[in-house]
Amino acid sequence: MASDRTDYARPIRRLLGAAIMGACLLLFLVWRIDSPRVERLRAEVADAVMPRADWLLAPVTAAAEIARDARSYARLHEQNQELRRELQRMQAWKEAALQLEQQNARLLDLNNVRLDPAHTWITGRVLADAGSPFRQSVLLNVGSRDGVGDGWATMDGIGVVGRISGTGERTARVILLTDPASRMPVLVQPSGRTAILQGDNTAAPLVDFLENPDLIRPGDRIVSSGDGGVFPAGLLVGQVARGPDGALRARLAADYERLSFLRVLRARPVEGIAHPGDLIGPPPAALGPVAAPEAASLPLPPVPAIATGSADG
Amino acid sequence: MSLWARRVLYLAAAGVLILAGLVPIGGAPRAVPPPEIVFALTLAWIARRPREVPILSVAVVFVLADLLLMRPPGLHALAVVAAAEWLRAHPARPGEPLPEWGRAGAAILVAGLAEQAVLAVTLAAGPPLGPALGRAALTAAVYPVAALVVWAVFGARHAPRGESEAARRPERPA
Repeated sequence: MASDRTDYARPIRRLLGAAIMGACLLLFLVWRIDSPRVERLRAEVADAVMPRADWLLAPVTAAAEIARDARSYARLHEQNQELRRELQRMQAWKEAALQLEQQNARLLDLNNVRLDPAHTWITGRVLADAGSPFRQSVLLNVGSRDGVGDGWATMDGIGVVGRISGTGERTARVILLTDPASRMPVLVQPSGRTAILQGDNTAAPLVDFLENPDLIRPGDRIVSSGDGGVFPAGLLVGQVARGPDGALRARLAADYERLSFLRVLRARPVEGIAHPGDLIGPPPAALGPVAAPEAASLPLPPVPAIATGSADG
Repeated sequence: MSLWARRVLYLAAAGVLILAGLVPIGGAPRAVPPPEIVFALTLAWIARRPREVPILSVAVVFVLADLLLMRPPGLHALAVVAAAEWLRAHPARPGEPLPEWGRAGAAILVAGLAEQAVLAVTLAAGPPLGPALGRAALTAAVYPVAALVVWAVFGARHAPRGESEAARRPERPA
């Protein structure tokens, strides 16, 4: 480095620094003004980086799993006892469930009920965490290439985990129910009260906007209510529990400790009612294509797996 | 190692640290957020070998981190770049670890406060104030560890006193 370079290197460095900081500020302001566009950019960056970093993440994931397994070996005996006890209890439940299932099948048959055929799913593997202690989301390895769309509900096989928010070509981000930005309309089961499940960055989201909290008891089941058309109705979410602060919270049914494979439920587009006249009768001009809805409902995509996820709805 | 190899080494180290934070070992959200090690590492590296961590590297690493970690994009990058540039302009003298820690800690805390202020002014949804500042404090607290790692693992040492002025501050007027 010749010393004569210092004469002009310093202002150039200053300028570069100012330009870079200005660019960062501009990015932030653009995000603040036009968030969807920048969020798309974010999805695309994740899409470009994460599938390629998979090989790098694999050994770290494996090491973490081994460490967790080792910890669990330490209390093997204890766990064995616990499992035995649980198994005994489960036997009784299984018997009850079998009887109920038969009864349910008979009743459904009597009523000629068709379970919702629109509930089909795509299974994705969890690629990455949110990585930030203030956000709760995971990245799946399915994306718009696989037909995943924004807002679709995601389950882990037992309960609702969250919903898709942001899709890239090969990846999709799932905002978990525990994320501070997550809101989900739910139904508390025996009493049939509606509420909003509000994530607040703790393991158990708040059950909020209850009309009459006295009717809700810890242990009540929480299912999705389907209000707002984001989540299909009747998906299991969890149980009501009272938090240490006395607030009603949801103990989630999904196993948030081990999110590895998630099911993305295909969402039907919500049928909106455009104007009230259609409720009473179609206008004369629309009488012609009245046969169309029947035809339109026919070419439902032939999907191999038909879910029965709404069986408890 | 040449200067460019060392620059790539910084980028690789930061990239691995960020990706390691993304590993889906899951778990429930914790009450106390973990420190941001990449931030401390960057400042410690700059304190030792400022030329190996050019401003462009810092900006690229932290803008990408903002995008990947679901933070408001650009804001944290701006704070880190500003803190790094301030430390670059006001370096602690080598062999004085406590003043160095003090400066870096102050830079981290001020960056955290400024971020919260900007989020509040722009009404953007950000992390809650308490945990965010706790995280900044924790990051400041682990700075010596990051400095040790930079020194022992990545071999970035203070240049000896005699040549330090020439090597570290080529932009300072003679």
